[in-house]
Amino acid sequence: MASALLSVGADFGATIALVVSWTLIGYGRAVAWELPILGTDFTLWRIVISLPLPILAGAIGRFVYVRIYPKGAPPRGLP
Amino acid sequence: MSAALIIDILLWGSVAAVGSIALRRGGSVLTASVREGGMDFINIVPRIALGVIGSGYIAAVIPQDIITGWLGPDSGWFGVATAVIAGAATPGGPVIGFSIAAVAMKSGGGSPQIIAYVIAWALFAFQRLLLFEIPFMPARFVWFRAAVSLPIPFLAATIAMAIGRP
Repeated sequence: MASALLSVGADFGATIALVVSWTLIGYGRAVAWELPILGTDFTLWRIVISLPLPILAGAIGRFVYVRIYPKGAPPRGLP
Repeated sequence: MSAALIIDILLWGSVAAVGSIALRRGGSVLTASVREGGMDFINIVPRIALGVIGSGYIAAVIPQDIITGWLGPDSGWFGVATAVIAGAATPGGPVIGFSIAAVAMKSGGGSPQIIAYVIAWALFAFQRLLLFEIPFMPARFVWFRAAVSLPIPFLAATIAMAIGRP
């Protein structure tokens, strides 16, 4: 999914936010594994704390990216 | 009513709702999905049991002061950094990662440190980067993504310390 977005020219920061939010907030793993093993209280707070983080990762990614490639992505291959 | 109970009710409610949708599509759809879900359940239960019971045993066997020294509530940023390195170095799937976190939780690890461990494990687990992300995405994107995610577990630990939860 993320690689498809990248290849059709999605914003770099947005793609990072997508991947990070999928790893941190994706509910499949939380419901199947984290809830039973670590308990509801921990899982809930862990997810609440994670909510702002993908946006931040995307912002940092973008900040660094536009400084490494000020003229946009290099001609071949991504990023 | 506790949050845990609300979550349980929500989850079971959605199971019932989806089940009734399946029933409306026809009895055979319901029986097929129940059979498939039941098989998944039977496959998963031993692994969850392994994680929960196994982590309890390990927590009882590991000397308490090792965990509290390295990852305890008083270990501060040193503990968070230890947790991040440990999380990134943990191989394997969710049972291993979450069970190790459960060991730390049961034997006196601090919440911010355990949050940092779980998040670092989710973000950086090295084996997963190599096996799943690099084949599907440009390697430079994956390394870049990992690099800009470096502050994330520390930020999460900071938030956990600030709000004093879980």
